[in-house]
Amino acid sequence: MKTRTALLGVTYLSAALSYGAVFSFVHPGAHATFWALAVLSAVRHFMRSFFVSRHLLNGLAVAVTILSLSRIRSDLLLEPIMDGVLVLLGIKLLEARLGRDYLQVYLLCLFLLLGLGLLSLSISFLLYLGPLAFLLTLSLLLLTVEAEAPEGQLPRKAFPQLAFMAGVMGGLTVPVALILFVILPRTNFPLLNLLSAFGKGGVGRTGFSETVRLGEVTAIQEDAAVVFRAQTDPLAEKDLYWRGLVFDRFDGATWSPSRHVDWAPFQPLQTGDVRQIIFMEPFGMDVLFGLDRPVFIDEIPVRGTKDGTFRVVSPLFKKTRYVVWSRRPTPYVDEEPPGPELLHLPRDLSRGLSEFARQWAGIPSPADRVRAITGFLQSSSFHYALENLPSSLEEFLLEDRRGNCEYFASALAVLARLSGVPARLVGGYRGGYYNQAGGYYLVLQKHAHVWTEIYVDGIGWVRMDPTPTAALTPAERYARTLLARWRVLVDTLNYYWFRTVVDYDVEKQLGLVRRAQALASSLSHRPKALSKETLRTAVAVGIGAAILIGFGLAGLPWTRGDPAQRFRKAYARRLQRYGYHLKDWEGVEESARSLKDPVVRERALHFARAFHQAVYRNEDLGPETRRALKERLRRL
Amino acid sequence: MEQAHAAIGRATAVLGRYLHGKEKPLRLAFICFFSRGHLLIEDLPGLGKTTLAVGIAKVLGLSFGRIQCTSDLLPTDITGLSIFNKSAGVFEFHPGPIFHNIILVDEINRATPKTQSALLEAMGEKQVTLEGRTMHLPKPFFVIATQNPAEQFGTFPLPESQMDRFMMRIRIGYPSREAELEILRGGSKRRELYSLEPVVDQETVLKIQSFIRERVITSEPILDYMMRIIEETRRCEYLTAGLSTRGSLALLHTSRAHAFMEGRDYVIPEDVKAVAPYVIPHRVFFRDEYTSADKKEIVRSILEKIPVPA
Repeated sequence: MKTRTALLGVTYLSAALSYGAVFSFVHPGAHATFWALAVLSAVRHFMRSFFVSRHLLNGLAVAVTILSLSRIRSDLLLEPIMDGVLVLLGIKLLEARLGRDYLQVYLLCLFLLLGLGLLSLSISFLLYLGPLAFLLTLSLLLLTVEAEAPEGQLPRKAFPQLAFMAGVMGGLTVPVALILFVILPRTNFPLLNLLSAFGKGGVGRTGFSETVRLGEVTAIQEDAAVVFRAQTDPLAEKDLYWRGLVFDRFDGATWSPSRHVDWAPFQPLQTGDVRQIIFMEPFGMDVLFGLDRPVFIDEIPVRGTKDGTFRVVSPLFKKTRYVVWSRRPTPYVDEEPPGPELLHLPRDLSRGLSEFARQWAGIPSPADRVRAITGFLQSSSFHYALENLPSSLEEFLLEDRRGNCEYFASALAVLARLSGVPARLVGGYRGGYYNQAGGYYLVLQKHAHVWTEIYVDGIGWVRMDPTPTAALTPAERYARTLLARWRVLVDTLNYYWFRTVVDYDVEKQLGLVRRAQALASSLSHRPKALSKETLRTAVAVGIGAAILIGFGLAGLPWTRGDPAQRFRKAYARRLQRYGYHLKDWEGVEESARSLKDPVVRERALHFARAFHQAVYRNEDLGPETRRALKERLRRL
Repeated sequence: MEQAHAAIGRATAVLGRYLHGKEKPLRLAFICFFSRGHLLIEDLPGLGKTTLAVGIAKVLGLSFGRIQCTSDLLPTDITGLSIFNKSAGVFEFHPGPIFHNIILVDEINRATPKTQSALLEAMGEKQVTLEGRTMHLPKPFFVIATQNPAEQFGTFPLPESQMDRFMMRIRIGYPSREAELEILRGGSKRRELYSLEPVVDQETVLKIQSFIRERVITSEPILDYMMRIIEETRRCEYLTAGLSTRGSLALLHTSRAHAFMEGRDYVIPEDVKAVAPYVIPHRVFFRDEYTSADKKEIVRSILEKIPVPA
């Protein structure tokens, strides 16, 4: 195989890898251009060489750069650059002939990968980085070989050797990179994260809307995008309501939050409040979610309202972390009694509905009344459905009796208001996949949900969820697929990637230093008794490390067997340096005698004598002898 | 052992003056001699076989006898015979030339098989039985037989089975140009050779022989290595029959002697390899298609199949 062929192969592989990395972010035009250029270049390099004017290619490259720069907008910062870089990569592949062309190709590959890192901010970056780093190191090595002997042949053995070397070099850089990662000075704001605000990731995964409009099924329930992750202890399934918005105005078809917002100070914390750390994806809304019902939000400037929702000043376009304390028990008593607007219904509400509601008017206690209505909605005549939904609430209640959570919740709220009980809708998420490994709930857009809250005098706000619980919601169905399970697994990695790498800022850096100091000082004190947990972890980690080391050692080309053989091999290696290949059937002394250089020969004989005496006379390779033999070998 | 080495060194140095360019055969002869074997020299006449034998005998202070084989040579010509002494009225034993320490049997293939076998028996048993009387041959006892491979008419070449009795078979070959020039300038020194003063005495020679037998160490790995070589000769596709057990012993003893000559009291694989080309070829049966030139190559190829221990 020619070195050039190997070099080209590895280069194409690198280009393919980086293309794959940015595949989903690239403009179709860039796709097409890159493919065309790549195919042309493959034809040029592997099949039939043809002449390409360098001036033409350079002109083209300049044009592409200008074009891609002109496309940049404040909300579309990275993609045009990525498109441009990809096309440039294609051009360089076509051009590749001189060493510098290859170097440019590698640089472009790295740029593409960097683009992926900024665009996705997920651990997939690492999955591409490893192989690409290996390939690039390998191609640099090959490039040196090629530069040494242009158009030369690559010996068959050389390629695995080069690959091994590239692997070792890559492996050695890992600890250095880690150290640099930890110690390089940081801003007090995660910069990577800021950039993502302008990338595709920052364009907000809209789906959750500020209004609930009946009959308007959004794609939200098919959307498996992550909304947030909530790090907390496992909770009972019935408590998993993530409160976001309150809708208290109803115009007959649409629920919306009231314009008038009562800002309220945070409640003081009580024992039993549940603490969660929420990692919000860039969502494009100013709503913060928390377990129903949040009472205190920390680590982010936020204003709370009386109805238990929280808003940030401006919509979130970056990954955000905040801490929420929630008070689980329902009914919730701390909120003031609602005004008459929570009984308000549009004037043009159909008479059919009011008459329909009259059947519960006879029940004296408001709580019983609502319970009866809920019972009615949860009766077997109602079905959960996502398609062919009824056009209005009246149709839902009186005729079709099939609907999604919005229908159930607003039916309950409207019927409650009709029978004189203040009611409102609450929008948020229901459920979530608990990730045991990460200790957090993963909440997807699929989990979007609407439920009802009613106010009962003397009791407080009661959460009522009339949506049939037995029904298999899309989120539940999704949870059963293998894909979902796989996703949860991958998500764990992404979660930690985000927490440790992307979110690494000056504060964490200082925290790390402080912890190191604390550790150092605590080590000088009497060690604390290890908890069982720690011990178990330590044992598990130890076993894992031992297994890994075992595998590593087994993989190494160890010379097993008796020490004599080992010495013989070491001797053979030394001889190799002098260009002498020790054959299996050759004695040590014999080979020493046939060395040309008299000085080396003398030293080799010196070793050979000692070696033979030890092996064939005394048949003893004790530590003493071994040391002496090593000494003689070293001198050789 | 130091003394012995010094003695051998001196002997080699002295002989070197007379045996120009025959250092290697001389060394092999010493090895063969010290390992209590007998030597077969297969070469053309006039290349210094006799000089070698006489030189060794003289320098070691041993008695020397010579048997020139012809087709009418009788066994009694070798062993000696009893002749009736009229005046004493008894049979008196007149020992033959075999009753010497070193015997040169020239052109052994000219003797009849009967005589050959008598000689070979004496060599093997180191004793002679004559008219019911068993007589021990002197110690050390070393036979150097020569055989001319070129002459075929009227000869009885030794069969392979008889060759086994010789520990080593060597060739002397032509001397190098310089060595021969030296001989031409100085003329033959055979006369002076006969008047050579011994450097070593008989007792030392016997001591060296027993030292080699008893004190030179052959470790387990070396024995294993030899065993593998022996097995390989028995298995080898180029050979119809491998090394006999006597051959194995010969390999062992000559390896020891070689080690001793190298100044060691232990055997290393190099020793085995050094003596193998002289010990093995005349004991194994090659397939017919291989000429003698191939034989050395074959032995070498066998050695190259066996990895050195350790």
